[in-house]
Amino acid sequence: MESFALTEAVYYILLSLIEPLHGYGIMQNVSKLSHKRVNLAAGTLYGAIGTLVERGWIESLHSGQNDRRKEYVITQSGRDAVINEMERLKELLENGLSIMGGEKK
Amino acid sequence: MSRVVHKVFFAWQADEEESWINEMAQQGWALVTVGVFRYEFESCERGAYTYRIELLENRPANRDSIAYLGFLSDAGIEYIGSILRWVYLRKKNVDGPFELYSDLSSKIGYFRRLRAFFISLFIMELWIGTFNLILAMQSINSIQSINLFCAFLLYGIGVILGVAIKKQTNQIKTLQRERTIRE
Repeated sequence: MESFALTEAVYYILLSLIEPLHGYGIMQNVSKLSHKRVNLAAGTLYGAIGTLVERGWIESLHSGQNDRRKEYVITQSGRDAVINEMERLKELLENGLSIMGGEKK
Repeated sequence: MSRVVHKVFFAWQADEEESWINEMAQQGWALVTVGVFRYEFESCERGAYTYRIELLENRPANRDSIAYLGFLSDAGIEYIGSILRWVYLRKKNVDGPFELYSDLSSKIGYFRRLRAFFISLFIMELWIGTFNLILAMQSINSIQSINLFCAFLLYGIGVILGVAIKKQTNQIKTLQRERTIRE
């Protein structure tokens, strides 16, 4: 199975959508999770959501007719993608630790 | 207090236009209405807003555009007005910095959209310019000079657009190189 690295924006978006959340909520949550390091811009987030829905990694919940406060939630494929990504990150980190030791800046 | 300013900015000068609107905002004038070469400002606290001009994929009235603008609105980004596919947006500076794209891929995507727009304008200018040139070469009387003038004008605009396209291509390439290292 081919594996590609997820961008950290996508990784955090997926993590944010374990529970349903709307656009702006995702932005705030990602900022919180990353201790303000990752700040998703609205245009980037909108595009990412579109792509993730197309891929079937998240789906939208229809909250009535209101298109705007649409909420999204992760799908099973999305969960699998996150798990795979965590495996990849673990491998990266383990190799880093073993080669660099516990070296801090 | 409000004021109206007439100023000419063409499609390929969107960066300069945006800088000017932001300078006005720094001086306490917030853009509230846009028209062709016409800008209406209302006084505001100095530096209260940051403005961005964006080229949408579709006109603002289109369903996808409405969804996008609604999404932006939830993030505190206000829609001020539009001219064709260009929308004028602003955000309060107390809410933090205002950028529409935070990673290289989405920036590249947007620059591609801009470039495609300039290319289509460029093709149109060349086409109409050449049409005028052919007309000019065929007629013998004084109408000819009007066609010739139009041809040169349009080719001139074509050259300016060509420069804009090259600049956009360079920006895209720079970002793509950067993307081989980081996101």
